[in-house]
Amino acid sequence: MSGKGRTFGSLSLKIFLAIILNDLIDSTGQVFMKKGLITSAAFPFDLHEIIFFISRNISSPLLWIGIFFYAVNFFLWIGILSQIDLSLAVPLGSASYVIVPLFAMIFLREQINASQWAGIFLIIIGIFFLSRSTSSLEKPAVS
Amino acid sequence: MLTIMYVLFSEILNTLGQVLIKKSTLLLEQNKKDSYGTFLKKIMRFPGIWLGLFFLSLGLVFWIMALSTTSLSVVFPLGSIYYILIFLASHFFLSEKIDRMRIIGTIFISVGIVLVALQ
Repeated sequence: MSGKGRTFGSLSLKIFLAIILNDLIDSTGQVFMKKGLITSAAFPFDLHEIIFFISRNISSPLLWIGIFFYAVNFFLWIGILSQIDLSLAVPLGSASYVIVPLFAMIFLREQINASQWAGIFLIIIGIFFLSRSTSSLEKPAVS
Repeated sequence: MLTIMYVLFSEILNTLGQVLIKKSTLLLEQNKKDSYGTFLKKIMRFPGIWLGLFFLSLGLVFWIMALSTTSLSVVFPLGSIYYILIFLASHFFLSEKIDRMRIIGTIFISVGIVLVALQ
């Protein structure tokens, strides 16, 4: 992961793309997880119900595909964290969730309503501010 | 009420996990010639990574349990608490400098996420 090359504010393009990739994998994992889980109407509030919840879902293949995506993502996330501050990586990471509705619009022709557009706009402004953060310079140790 | 507690619990576990992972990457002496695979092999020797992974997984379980009964639009606004926890932990445990740009940017992002999640 290089600190040189093209930059996005004080972030390298490579790190920025890694964060976006991290989020795409995360979103994919979440979709599988959501499809794979049998959720109960009753809220699991004691240990007995928690164990029941887990034992009922543990054999779901979709759930395991979801977990697989999460595992892959974990190895990418370690790399990201080795390069930039935690207080920068976390907000930046969730910011790229904006990509999911944008993709849904472009590829699935889903409608984005006015408040969602406003949200996307605010997130882009937020990313801009984060990229201007003075202490966001990557550690020069790895190139 | 229980849902909120589960979400908060998940966020605290996530914060702890992230700090442990970040701390491990700080402890690792990085070699610029290492490939990504070598880097991973080296970093996985740190117990902090495994403990962090454990906390993250536990956090995910709580998150799933919270989500199984409530809709995302209820849970998402609680997400801004996660950023506050991360900022506090980054400041106190990792001595990161949280400058104004970082705070402003994160506020914009939190509000934006809530708006995107609204249906």
